Amino acid sequence: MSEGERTAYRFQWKDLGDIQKGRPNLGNQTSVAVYRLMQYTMRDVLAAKYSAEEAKIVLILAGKLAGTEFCKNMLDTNLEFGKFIASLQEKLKTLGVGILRIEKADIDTMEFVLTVSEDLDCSGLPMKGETVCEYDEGFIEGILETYTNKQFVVKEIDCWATGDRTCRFSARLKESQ
Amino acid sequence: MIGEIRDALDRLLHGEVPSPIVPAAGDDDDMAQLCRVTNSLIEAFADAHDFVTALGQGNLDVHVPPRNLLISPYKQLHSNLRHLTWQTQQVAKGDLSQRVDFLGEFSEAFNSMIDSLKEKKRAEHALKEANSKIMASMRYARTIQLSFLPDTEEMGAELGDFFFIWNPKDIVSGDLFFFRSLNDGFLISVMDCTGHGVPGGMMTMIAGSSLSRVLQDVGHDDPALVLHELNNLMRRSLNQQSPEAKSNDGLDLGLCRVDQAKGLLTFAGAGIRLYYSLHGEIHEMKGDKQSIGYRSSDPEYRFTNHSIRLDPSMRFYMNTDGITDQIGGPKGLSFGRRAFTRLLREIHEEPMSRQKSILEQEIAEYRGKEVQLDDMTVVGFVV
Ligand SMILES: [Zn+2]
Repeated sequence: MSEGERTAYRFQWKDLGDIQKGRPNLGNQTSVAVYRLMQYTMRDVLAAKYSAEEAKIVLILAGKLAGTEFCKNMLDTNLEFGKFIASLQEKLKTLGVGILRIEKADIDTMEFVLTVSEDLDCSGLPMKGETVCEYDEGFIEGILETYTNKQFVVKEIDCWATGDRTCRFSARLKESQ
Repeated sequence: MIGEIRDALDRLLHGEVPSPIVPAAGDDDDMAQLCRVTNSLIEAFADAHDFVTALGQGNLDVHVPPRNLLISPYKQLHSNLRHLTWQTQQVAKGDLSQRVDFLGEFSEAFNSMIDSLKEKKRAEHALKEANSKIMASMRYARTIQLSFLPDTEEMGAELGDFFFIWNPKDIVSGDLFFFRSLNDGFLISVMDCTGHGVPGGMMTMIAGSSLSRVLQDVGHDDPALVLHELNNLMRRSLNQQSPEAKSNDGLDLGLCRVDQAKGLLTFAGAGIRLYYSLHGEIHEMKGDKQSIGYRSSDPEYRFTNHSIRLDPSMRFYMNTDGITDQIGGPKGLSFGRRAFTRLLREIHEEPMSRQKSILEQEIAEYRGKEVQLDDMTVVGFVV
């Protein structure tokens, strides 16, 4: 099978390399602008080469893969929900990803509403009139699915890019289940 | 048209929601655009007005208008309030892993509340652990105390019929009863030591072994003499004979010596009386008012022997004051000696086991929801 034909992801956490060893002087930190530079140029190229819709789908899938791997490697999925969220909140804060706040969590129906403030992807972005945190949508999906073993749909309701100063996401079970 | 728009803006400035402006047919492009923008402003203001009003009333389930820039900071506030509500609910459910991040003084207050709840939980846990250790050692103490009580088989062999109620207020008791069979009869005694629970239990051990010691020294034929000697031995054992003594503990006691050969029962009492039935009536031997072993107990005091000729129909009873002092009934008064005597008169012809269950039931009913105030002991026997 050639590279172009495979469907399964091959990413492994160790692909991120030994950062301590590789950057003895510069260390773990970089600038948010650099992170965004990569994401928004990639998005732009994807949109130009395929379409804006296609670019969004790729970003969601990439975010989802990232969320899945993040959950598997950085979080303890055996914790009960409240404690799991508290540890996720703590992780996202220390890693400088964003400030996670749960607004609503119905464990019975698996409906969640949460916000991410000072979001890495979009906080401070100029107004665009549409939400831009597709990568985050996927990221949250990946985490929730890995924790619950169920399939989720995550939608960004409010975003910095729609003038809302915080990104608000809703998550619910996929209809087909 | 300009006038209408001015009026609409003026009303918005006064916090009112004007109705949308209807564009006129002959308006030019600029005018139509101004009209449209004004209408969007009115709409956005109306949405914002409803949302902010509901928010002000604490209604967090309100519909949040999307894409409405007039209310961005309020949406942030709304989101934070919802988040805090959720976190507080988690804490109420006992999840103390929650922290509030970056919400100024509120974060500090909330997080320090969590810290003090955690501290409280730790203290509660330590208390529970200490308590379970104490309870375990109390239960073991009870096992020891139970083995100190008379052997019921030995009692059964000696007595025509008998019952006892030994009902501690706590796990261990300050009450004790004592039985010893002799060649020509037996000794039976009921004791009520100072206090209940652990200190009461320790007193019963001292009292019980002191009684055995005194019986060894002066014999068992003179109950009044036994009480006199016990009084002095207890005062000495507890170092209560000196005026500087710190403790002041002792006991009440009733002691019966039954001589089968002579057909005689001799009773001496220190604060405990003997009830007996004869010809359908309940009689009492009051005993002396002097208690045993206390600092205030007179070491020279001579107790009194009371003797009575035995009749096979007679039933005998001794009790501690835990029963007669128990609070209860509709008026919250103590059960009392008269009620106890009346009850004995009603039931004394019943078999002893039946008398026991009636007594227990009557006391429990009288006590109702009140707490048990003291250890309760009753001994009933037929010679
Ligand atoms: Zn966003």
